[in-house]
Amino acid sequence: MSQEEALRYCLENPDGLSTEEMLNRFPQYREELQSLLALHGRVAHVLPQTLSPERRAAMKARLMTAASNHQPSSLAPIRSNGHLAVSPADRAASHPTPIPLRQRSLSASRRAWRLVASLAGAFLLVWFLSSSALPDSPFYSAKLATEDVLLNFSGAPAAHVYADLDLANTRLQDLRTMFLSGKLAQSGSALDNYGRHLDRAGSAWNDLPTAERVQASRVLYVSTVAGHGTFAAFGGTVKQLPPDVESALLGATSILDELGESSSQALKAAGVDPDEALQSAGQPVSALLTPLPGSLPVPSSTAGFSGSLPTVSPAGLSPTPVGTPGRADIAGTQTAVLYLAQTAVAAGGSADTPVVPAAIIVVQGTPGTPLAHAQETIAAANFPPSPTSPPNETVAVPVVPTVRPIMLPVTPSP
Amino acid sequence: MAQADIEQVRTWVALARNGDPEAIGSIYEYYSDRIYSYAYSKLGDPAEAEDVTQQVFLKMIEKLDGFEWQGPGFASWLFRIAHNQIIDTVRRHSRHPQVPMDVLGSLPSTDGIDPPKYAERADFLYQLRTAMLKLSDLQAQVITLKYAAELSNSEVAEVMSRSKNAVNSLHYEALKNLEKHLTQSGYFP
Repeated sequence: MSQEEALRYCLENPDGLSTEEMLNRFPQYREELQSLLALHGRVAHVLPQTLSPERRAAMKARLMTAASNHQPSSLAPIRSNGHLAVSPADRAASHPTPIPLRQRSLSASRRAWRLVASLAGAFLLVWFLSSSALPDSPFYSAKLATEDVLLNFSGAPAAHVYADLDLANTRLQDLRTMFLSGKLAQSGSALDNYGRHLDRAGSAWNDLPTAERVQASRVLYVSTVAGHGTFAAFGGTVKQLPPDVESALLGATSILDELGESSSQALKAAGVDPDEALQSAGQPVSALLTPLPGSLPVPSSTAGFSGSLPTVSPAGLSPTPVGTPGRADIAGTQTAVLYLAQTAVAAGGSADTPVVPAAIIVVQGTPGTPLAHAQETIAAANFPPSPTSPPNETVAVPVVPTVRPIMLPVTPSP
Repeated sequence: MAQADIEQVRTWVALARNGDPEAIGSIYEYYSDRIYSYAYSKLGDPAEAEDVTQQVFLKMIEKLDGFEWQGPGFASWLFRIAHNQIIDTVRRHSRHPQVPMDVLGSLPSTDGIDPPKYAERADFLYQLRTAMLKLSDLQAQVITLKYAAELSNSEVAEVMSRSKNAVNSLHYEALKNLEKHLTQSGYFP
């Protein structure tokens, strides 16, 4: 029994033994187990936090009101400072717009119809003016707002997933256009909006019944692949972005990572090959899988990899390859040279799950784009599971570079 | 979670789906501290953690009809909502620097607690969180879900979409790494 298994046994204590009795079962690990069990106890003692009784009671009261009304979405949450967060609708209701005198003679219904017609007219005008706006246009925020209005008419939960993904993909197209125009730095609002639609799509997707979820996984997966491919193509441009735009990019990337992995797993669990989902993707999302001019190709199939892993100097995101780089054939026609680096790539924030070694993909010897913020774990990439694998071990890599190439644990060269 | 607890939660969930406010209140009482603790560990800010906790339960009411027992367990489902909510919060604040963890402020009241013990606990908590920053994200996530949210390894596996064996290994590696870092800094044993 390994030390890990012995610890698991002690933590689960299936036979109801005392600590001493458990340690006596594993004399070879006694000292280590004693220390780990003590640490387990201390962490379990200090890490849990509790709400104050007053806050818990206040929040529970609010929740009970929501439950009674059964209209939770209409309720404003209580901010932690104790004030109610007032929704715009509430605010508008408490401060009604004064009615001009000349309109008072109109019947209530005629006034209502006029208002509706005016609003609809204004809405259509804004929609028309803003429909082709890009992030550098003054009409862009109006475009995003009108999209949000239309999104509210999506209907069933599955329709919400598709509608949000559709808007996310529209945003991705905006970003591609901005990138090609050299205006990515002005795309903060588009990136924010992209991440928001993805996040909402992912959230709604999570709640779908199984059959609908699998079907939606195809579109979700393809959309994340398109997003990853596009972001990877931004390459060195990212370093020149203003901090707020870069931050929005990181936020969207972390959502892409999470949804990409979840949807891929959902497809595999349902017996669907994610590559097949990619290849059968229809318009308009398939257009987003097309590599941007001058950028890296988006791999469309799996790749095999074998050979000696290179060691690299741990120079952050610009590693210097040492030795012969590994090679992986992608899509059968293009050759990618993978330079592997062990770097501390910080993902988008404290809530992001994995931080992994990054890989630099270089096409035909040309310096390429660091695919940072990739979320694949070594296990997910079907790599040797131990992060202490020796650097020159020969490995076979079955399925990886749909988007993100390969995350490898490589010991830095001395 | 004991079998009796699982059955109790099942009953509450069934009643809550029919709009029973008392059942919703019971679910809240059962999970609120753990959701708060998880959110606090992720966000490092008590006020944000409270907001997230509240939003999680409001969303729970909204989405309860879509919950299926065939999928992940209820706790895992709830913590996934929490996870998404936390990501939302982080993204909202992504233009601002990370809020520093308010370690002392998060500890329970000192009433009835021996001051030296209180200080010792606060000190260890600070060192523990510092050591957690040196873990891989996956390891840190396991420690947070396991100890702050007090989930079982099976539940952690469901929340993280990993196998239980993978979580067991991550848990072991995380404890070993924490032990190493805390020993180096002189706070353990």
